[in-house]
Amino acid sequence: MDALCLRRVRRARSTTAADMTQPPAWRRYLRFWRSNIAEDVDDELRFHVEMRIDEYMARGMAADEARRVATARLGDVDAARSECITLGELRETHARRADFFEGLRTDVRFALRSLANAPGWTAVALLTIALGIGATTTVFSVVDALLVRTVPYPGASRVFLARREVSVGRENEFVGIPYAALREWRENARTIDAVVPFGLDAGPLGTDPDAIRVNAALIDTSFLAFAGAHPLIGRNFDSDEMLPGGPRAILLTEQFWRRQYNGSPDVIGRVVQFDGRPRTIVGVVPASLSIPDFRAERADIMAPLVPTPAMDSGVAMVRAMVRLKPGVSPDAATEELDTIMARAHIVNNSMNPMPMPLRLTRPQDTLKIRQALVMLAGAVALLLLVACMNIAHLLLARGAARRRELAVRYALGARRSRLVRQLVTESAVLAMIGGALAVVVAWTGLKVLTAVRPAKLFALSYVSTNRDIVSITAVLAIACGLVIGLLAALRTAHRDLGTVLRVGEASTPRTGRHLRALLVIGEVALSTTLLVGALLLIHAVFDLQRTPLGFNARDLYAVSFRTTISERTAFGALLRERAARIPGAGRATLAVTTPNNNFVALSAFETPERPSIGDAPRGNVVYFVAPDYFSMMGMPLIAGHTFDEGSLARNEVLVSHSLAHQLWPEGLAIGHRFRNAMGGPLSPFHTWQTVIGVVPNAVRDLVGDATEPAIYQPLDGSDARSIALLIRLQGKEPVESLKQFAASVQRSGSMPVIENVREELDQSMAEPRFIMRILAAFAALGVLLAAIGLFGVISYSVAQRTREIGVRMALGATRGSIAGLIVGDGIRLALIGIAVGLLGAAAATRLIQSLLYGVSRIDPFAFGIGAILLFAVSIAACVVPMLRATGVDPAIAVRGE
Amino acid sequence: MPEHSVEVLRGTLDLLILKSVSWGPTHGYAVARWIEQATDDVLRIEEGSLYPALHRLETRGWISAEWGLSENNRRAKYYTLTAKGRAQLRVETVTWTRFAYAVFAALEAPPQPT
Repeated sequence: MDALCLRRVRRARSTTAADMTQPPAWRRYLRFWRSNIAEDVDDELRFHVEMRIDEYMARGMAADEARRVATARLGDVDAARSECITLGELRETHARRADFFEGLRTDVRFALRSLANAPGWTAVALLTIALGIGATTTVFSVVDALLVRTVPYPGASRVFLARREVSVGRENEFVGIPYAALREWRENARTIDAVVPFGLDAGPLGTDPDAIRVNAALIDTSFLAFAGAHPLIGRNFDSDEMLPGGPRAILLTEQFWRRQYNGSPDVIGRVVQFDGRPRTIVGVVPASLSIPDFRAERADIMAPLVPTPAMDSGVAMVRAMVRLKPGVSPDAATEELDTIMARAHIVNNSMNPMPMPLRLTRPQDTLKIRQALVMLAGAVALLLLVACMNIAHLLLARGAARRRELAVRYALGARRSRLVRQLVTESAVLAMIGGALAVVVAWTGLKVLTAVRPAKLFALSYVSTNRDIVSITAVLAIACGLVIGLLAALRTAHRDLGTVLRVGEASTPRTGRHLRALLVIGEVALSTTLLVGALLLIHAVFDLQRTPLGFNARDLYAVSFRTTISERTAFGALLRERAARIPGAGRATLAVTTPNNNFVALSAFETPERPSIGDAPRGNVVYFVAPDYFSMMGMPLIAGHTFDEGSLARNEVLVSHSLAHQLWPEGLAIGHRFRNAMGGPLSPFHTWQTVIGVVPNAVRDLVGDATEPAIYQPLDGSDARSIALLIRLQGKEPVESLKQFAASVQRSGSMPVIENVREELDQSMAEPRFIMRILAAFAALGVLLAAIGLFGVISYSVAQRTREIGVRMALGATRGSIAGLIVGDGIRLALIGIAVGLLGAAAATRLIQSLLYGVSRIDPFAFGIGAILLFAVSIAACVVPMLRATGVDPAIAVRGE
Repeated sequence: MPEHSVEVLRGTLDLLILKSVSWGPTHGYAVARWIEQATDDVLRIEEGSLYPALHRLETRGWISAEWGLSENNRRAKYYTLTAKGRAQLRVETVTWTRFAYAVFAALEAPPQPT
């Protein structure tokens, strides 16, 4: 009996196995009825009982008895039933979730396939997304690093740099605040909470031969409190260490401490040589402590800003930062501080107050390229907009081509929501891939920008590590792409799809035509503006490169050393002697610094004939040079002669042609005298100076101008602790031989620096060149996007007008006239766009004016080339759609698709 | 019906179910019957716990279920071993066999020397 049963079961398996391996699809729809689970459980249990009953009855039991025993054997039916239902519902949830993902996967797969089916289209769309979003991310990262991020101080919105404006040649420069005035501010100013002086220095740390060059920030005891920072280990400076004769101490910055001392806590109390003097390390300050206005690099160490006699007398300036009291406007603070400063002058120096206007500037606003960056940010935001427009365009153009496909699917019963979901998925997939590519573009862009950044924009080198900006922008950009996709998809799907199928697409209304035309005009205009800006900067940089220097920079190298004042003369003699032995060496001379690294002295000059009465001080470039400097540099004297042994004692100087002309406009300067009417006995040129020679104007950098007044003094008159050998050197590896030379004469703490004078001069135009490169890249991008946009809109119009073109051809229109029709459309749009763009450029280039250095803002070269280039690109963009239009077969087109 | 049937150990039931559905689609009643017959009625399963056990295995993905018609034309739920279930069956068979041998070995072992 049992054996028989087993056989029956086995047979049942074999018959059902074949038709049950694959579940019927309709079963999925049974899930819509939730009661199904409970019923299924009941059915299953009922089947079991019935089988048992059959079994028992076959064994001879009565029907009632069989049912009773079968039910009893099942035991606690209710518990089993409810457990089965719970498990069933759990499976149900899982299944629904799996269904959703399965559907998504299908859609994504379908989207990928349909994107792969149109590789050209997909590539263009992806390129647009990746470039648009990537560029935006790059520029916003830069703007964030350079302009937005404020100093991380408490009350950062009230923190300002206090500086004064002074004119040097044609340019305005900023100078610091007299130390004496800071004391007055601290005691008497009611508009500010706090004021801190700070300074920048660089020098050798350690003893030779292991000395390394470090950047030092000079601060006083209040600086850490002002910046809201505490030493990581050790302590802040104490007030004794701020006194001229006090103990010498330094603080290390965290990054320098980790790099140089492996973050060892033992450094506290260690004595190191800085600037040739032993100093005790008293603490380490956190890496987050930043100092604004640091020119090239971050500080490695911090040293006390010890007031010097020159600082006390008001001759030497210090940099200063103030924190305004809450609610005080910068204007009100400026006025009060200016008044106090003027009074401090009279009290301390009994001399004329210096009429140099005080300026309070936000630390992040000190960049010269600030406006250019603001413009770039604006441009790139617009560029992203252009990219978005392009994608919407491309989707629309594609929508037109696919309308038939959608209409057929709609007619076959696909629901509208299903079609929209499909289209949205497709654009989402597009956006995801594009977004991923954009991250790569942005990352590469930042790497490149960091590589070509001017040394001044040191903050830029931290940008590429700031990954969260990249990811946030990428997410925003993807969202952007999704919205566009949704809009385009809704637009495609909302049309009366039934009509499309019935009458063909040529008859569908041409809605959105004006909008599309406007988009294209906007794109062309925007890229014209960008292109003109880039061309202006290219012109400016080109001009700067050809700036007459006033001296001969050919094969000119400079090797600078640090030295002491007492040793300088002997060291100079040694340098000359050894330099003659360098292979390939030409003439050589000595100066205190390299030609492009001279300092500017503020003075208001007077002559016996024309006394100064409270003139605004001007910046004068001061050179300390050897007598043969002029002949070696190729600066033939215009009049007079060069220094001799007694020149220093007799206060004899040479002046630039520009200064001679300024002081004695009517005649010869030789033998005449002048002096500085401003400042105390420690001020430069306080005593009468006699002019013994006039030399041609020479530039310090390429962006300044050669008409800066300059004064040349004998080398020995300088109190600077440096000396530079200037030498003309030919040969294969001049820098290598100069390195060997430097090593042969190097002495303790001399830290030789070798540079090519011409290359250093070129550094001065790093900022305009930097902005030029960025702008040129974006202009190229803009033009590319505009071309894509134009291509998209003309292609779309050709697709829509296929039947019209067919009719025209059937009625005798030549291919040439059809081509004219299509290209004419494109050209009309392009010309309007170019015109608008040129007007925009005329207005927008105001923002880059400070970088143009004499090139006119409405430079015909830039405007002309820009317009021509865009016009050519526009025509090129129309060529492919034009070929498509002329290739229309009238017979097929008219017959109706 | 034999008098001394053993209560199926928890966990053992899962193993037996997996084994019983390993030849092809099987409904719950057939599982119960196979266990009785294959063990000569020694192992008498608690039928109330059989179905929750089946559903548990289904939830875990070790067996899959499908409705079909039985040999006498009734609507019945058939269970099939999945690939995951087959792997599980292999593991548990090994574990169980080792366990049983261990118990045997212990029982056959000579008396402990004192």
